[in-house]
Amino acid sequence: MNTQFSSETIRAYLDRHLDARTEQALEEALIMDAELADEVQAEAALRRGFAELKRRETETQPRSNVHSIGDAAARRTAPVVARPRQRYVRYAAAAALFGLAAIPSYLALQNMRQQADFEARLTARIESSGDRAAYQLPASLSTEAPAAASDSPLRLRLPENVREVSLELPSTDSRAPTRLQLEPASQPGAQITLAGVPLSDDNAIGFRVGSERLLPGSYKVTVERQQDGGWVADREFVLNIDAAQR
Amino acid sequence: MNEPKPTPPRGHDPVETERLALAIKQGDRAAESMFVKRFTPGLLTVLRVRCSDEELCRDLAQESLRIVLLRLRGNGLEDPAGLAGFLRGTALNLLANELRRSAHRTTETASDWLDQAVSERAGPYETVETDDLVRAVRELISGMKVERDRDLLWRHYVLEDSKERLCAEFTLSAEHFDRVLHRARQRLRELLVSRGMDARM
Repeated sequence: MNTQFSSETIRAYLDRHLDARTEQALEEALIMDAELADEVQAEAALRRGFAELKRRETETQPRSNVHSIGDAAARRTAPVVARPRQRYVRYAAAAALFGLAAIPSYLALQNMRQQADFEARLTARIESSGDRAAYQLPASLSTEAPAAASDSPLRLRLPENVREVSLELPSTDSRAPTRLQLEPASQPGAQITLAGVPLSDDNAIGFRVGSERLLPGSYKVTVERQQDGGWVADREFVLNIDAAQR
Repeated sequence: MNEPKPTPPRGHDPVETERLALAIKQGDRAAESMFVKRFTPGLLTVLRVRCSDEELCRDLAQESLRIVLLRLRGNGLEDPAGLAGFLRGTALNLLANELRRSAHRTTETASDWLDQAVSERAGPYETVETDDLVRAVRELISGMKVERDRDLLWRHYVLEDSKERLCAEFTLSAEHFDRVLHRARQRLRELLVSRGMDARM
């Protein structure tokens, strides 16, 4: 990596914002150094790629989903908040993370193979956070106010065309085999079991589920960890899949 | 068995450049080939920043290299350390002449990239290429295991949040920030190469 020129300098170069002397120095350096030239070209390609993503996002975004930040924030927080019960704080924290991380994680982790999937991502972004992409929300937001969360069920709204959701939960031991079980309230015993996958660097476990399996309704969610050859419940909470927004 | 292709050296080595110039003066054809391979990427970068016509950039890069090669074969340069400046000057002069001749070929700086760079590449080849680029960027994002890095890229490249702001928000040093971007560029380059593309502007 060429350390003579910072990423800001390269960025300014591509924007043609450098003064003549610095521009000449950088250009002579990149003529001599193919590695630096590659770096500049890749930066330009990255910017062009993201620009195109943004352009497509704008084009595919339904008008009705566009809200102001304030409006989106109100829509996001109002239905979830209620009085907490202390013993549910741990569960509420997990639930808050579950809900706030679900769509963002989907957005970030889903390997988008079809355009339809990607359009769904874009819709989710806007609905969840106004003019900011959901998955750009700092992860810390997920755990900022666990005490303010409630023992009322967590609601998860899935926009149309979402094919898969990745769920992310914090874990103190992400190496221990973990699974998540979703039990529909309407069909006790009909469980959906998802195997957890450790997410490196995040101290978190990820679970993936096709959204067609998440039919609208209420689910009892149990996270279990393998211990001494058996499965031990680590946390439980209730999840409601909102039919109105599917 | 195929003879391995000579690989252009990476990084800047002034002594090696001087040797290359001397070898060209002495008629070493392999050195000429090395010269072309080595300086083409940088020259193309310089030209692409100023001109959106890819074919013209390639023509001008080739013409610049031809002119400088002839000079090196003949009188050579008084100061081989000035080779980069000579190459750059030649390329920019050729570009200026070409633009004067063809007023309809407008320059399009990268500063217009957000609204224009992609949408104006409307030809079938460019459309396919843009689709490939978008796929590569998606793959890049989905392959990033650290959510913070994904956030960082999105906010830096789409929302254009400043480095200072992002470093403060994510509690990152400037060096760490640069490393994240560097890794992303490297990965994108790999993805593009695997699709038979170069990371052109």
